[in-house]
Amino acid sequence: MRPVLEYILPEYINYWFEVGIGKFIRVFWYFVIFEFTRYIILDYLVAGWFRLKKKKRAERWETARRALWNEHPFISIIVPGKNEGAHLYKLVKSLAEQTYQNFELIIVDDGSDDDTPIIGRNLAQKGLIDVFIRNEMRGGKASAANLALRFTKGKIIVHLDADCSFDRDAIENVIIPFYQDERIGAVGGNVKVRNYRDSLCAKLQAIEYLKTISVGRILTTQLGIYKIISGAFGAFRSDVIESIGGWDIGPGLDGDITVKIRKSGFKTVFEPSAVCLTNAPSKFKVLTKQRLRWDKSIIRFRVRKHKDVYLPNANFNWSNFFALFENVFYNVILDITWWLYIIDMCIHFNSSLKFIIPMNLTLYTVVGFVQMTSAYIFSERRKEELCLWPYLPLMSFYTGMYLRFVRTRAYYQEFVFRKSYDDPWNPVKSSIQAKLNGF
Amino acid sequence: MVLKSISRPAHQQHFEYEGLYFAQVNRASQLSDPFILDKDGIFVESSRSEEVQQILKQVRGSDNPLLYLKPVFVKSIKLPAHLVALSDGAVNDENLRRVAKKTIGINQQIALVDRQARKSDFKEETLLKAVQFIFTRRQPLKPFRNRKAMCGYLFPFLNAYLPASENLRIIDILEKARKEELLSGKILDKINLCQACDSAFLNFRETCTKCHSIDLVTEDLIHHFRCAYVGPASDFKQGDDLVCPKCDKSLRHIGIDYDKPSEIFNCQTCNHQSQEAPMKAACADCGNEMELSYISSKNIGTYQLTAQGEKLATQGFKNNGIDLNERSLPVGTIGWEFFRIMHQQEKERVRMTGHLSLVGVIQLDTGQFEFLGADSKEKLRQEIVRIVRPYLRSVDVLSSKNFSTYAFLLPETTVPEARQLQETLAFNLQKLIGHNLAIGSKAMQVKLSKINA
Repeated sequence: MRPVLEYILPEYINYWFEVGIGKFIRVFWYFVIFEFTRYIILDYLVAGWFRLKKKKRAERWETARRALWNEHPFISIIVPGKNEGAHLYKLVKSLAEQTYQNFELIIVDDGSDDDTPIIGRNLAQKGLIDVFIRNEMRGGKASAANLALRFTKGKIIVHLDADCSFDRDAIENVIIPFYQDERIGAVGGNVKVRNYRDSLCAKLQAIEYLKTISVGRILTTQLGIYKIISGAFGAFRSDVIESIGGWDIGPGLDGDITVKIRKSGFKTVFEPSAVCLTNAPSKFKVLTKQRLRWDKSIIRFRVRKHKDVYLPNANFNWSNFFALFENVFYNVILDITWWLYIIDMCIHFNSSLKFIIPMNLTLYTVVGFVQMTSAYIFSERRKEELCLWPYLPLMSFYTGMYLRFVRTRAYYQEFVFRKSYDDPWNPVKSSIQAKLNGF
Repeated sequence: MVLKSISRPAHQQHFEYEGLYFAQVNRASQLSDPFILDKDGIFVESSRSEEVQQILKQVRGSDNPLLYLKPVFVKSIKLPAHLVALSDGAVNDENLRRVAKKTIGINQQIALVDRQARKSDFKEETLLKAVQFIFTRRQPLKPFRNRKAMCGYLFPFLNAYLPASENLRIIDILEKARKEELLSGKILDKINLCQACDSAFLNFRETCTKCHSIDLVTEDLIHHFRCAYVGPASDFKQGDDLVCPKCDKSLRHIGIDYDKPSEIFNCQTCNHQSQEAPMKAACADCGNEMELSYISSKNIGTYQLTAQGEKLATQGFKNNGIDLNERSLPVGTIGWEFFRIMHQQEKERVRMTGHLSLVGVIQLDTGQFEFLGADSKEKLRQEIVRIVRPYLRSVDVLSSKNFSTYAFLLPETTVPEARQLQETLAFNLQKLIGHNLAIGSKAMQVKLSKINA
């Protein structure tokens, strides 16, 4: 300890005082240009804007809420899934607690090989599920969602994952935005991690969800470039979703349908008060598989399938362009740039790495705390989420390294081998057709 | 050899063959002549099948074992299978030796049967006749399909003295005897019975979950792999082709372009689409429509004697210690007659000791339960006993006369306790009949009274 305090620490501080601001920016150009501006400056500017318009937003919200209750529309909740039987009773109980009750619940069992059909039929017989549909052959999540869509009678379709539970006002809050602006075609709910106490892996994801979903999506909504409605909790106008032909083959079908809705001329917004809790993977092995799938879908859908968004054509729309560009830029381009940054450091500042790496970690940790503060400002579960704060220093390793490695691997596999078509998440028969037709 | 009658008065004609004497009967009225009982067998001689049928039924339907067990052979006409089963076969000039041999065999067995056996009621009488018939014929009792029988089957020998509508009682008695190991058997069929009239002629139909209409059309669901569209086949049909309504592509090859993951029911009455089409049954006899859970089923089988059954045939009930009435009592109850004796005894006790003792009666309004079949009534009886018994103490006595009348003695219960018990029983029993049979609370009463000397 003594040598650290007497020699290493003073030398480290002295080094950074001596390099000056110019060299500091040169060394940490990646952090200053991309991370700091995006995750600190933009976050706080939008947070400030959000705060400033709080009163007006509350008035608009109240007017929309009254309009909703005046009309009291019938809505359809659809839950497609495979082997989700164990979650169905909890889901039904969670929905029974909702403040908004004028809904039908439609569950599609996509070729489950467990007790899901028995459980589903039992709940349907007891009147806890309105429609239970069983497909003997698995067709994939998109086909199951489309089948459910066929049976819906509601004006608004709410798509849920079976393993989610909801705040009592979640359903009401996710449909109120439709009464704020008739150009809104879809609303994304606020998905948070329920099992954050289970493991370190779940805790780090809980922090990530708070920062990227809760805060990140408020920001993108404010900028009009919100581009992913989570499959776990999203609401869609039935006429809009029918006009675009429902869901297409995944993985990544939730992002895909959001882009389709945007391309058809409707707005997509995020509603932070519509809170849904879900179980995140509690092991890094499972998380890696999930993230590989998610990251591959960015290339498959954002870069390939919807490439027309970037081209100057008759349907060109700046907000759609920025929505997808922001997504591709901050994920794909910055991932490549980060590797260039690492190479740059190794070549030009090889002898100073012993000062640069600790400073980098320090910067990211500080930024982590600042970002968490903005998440804290927006959160409705501040007290419960306080237990996540001690884990913030680990986020530099989690997002800065672990997720980046996973992302790089996913992009490489998808760019070079189109690996997403081999993902067992979809049945082979569908993947073959998707690959053949370039979806 | 030619069959020849021995010259006698017309009503006492008989035929002799190798020391065996057969009464020759051509009219049912001849059966009342006691001379027939002395013969080794009966030859039925009539060219009219109705007359033959009547004679056979009268023989087998008799109360006298010497007559109903008598070997009977039909001469001259061919009978339908179930009537053949009432006789012991046909007789003609060619098969006399075989008939004689069979007659000797049957009579040897009849000699072993207890012909004076006690028969206290219908159940005992039916069972005794059944075991005696199986024992003397040394062949199983077989059911015959018959459209005129409510349950679709007849046991000719037992049905001879009962109308076809009583078949179910026979089946119940035989099945009960099988469970009690008096009979053994092989199940040939299972019949489903109407909840209201016990008819086995039910029509099963799939119905709409929403409007209960039977006008349903089944359609395949088609999943187009390319675009993940899923919908009924009618969505895809364009003439002879299948074209996806979402992406306008032709579906060429099942398994490659598309598959059919399930089926869907379209209701032609209310347009409701569903994968569920609950099956309902409609009775062809009374028209009652019911859910399948309300249908009771019964086994139809052939029956043979067990060792215990043979004992019953040869020794009767009195030597067997078998009392069917006591056996059929619900668990936790005593017989009605025994209860009456205990009630008298309790009266006596109250008179001598001045002790407080109470008696309770549960009475169902039989009129409101008329729609229940015999089986359902028995189930209701068992269920009521199952509910009442746990509320009674070990010293209390419960009895049920039939499905609608129950009585219980409360020799050690105070009046407030009894009132509480009365309320509890009334609440629970009303719930039972209200929830399961949708009958109002007035259909049942629980009454309490003090036993007065």
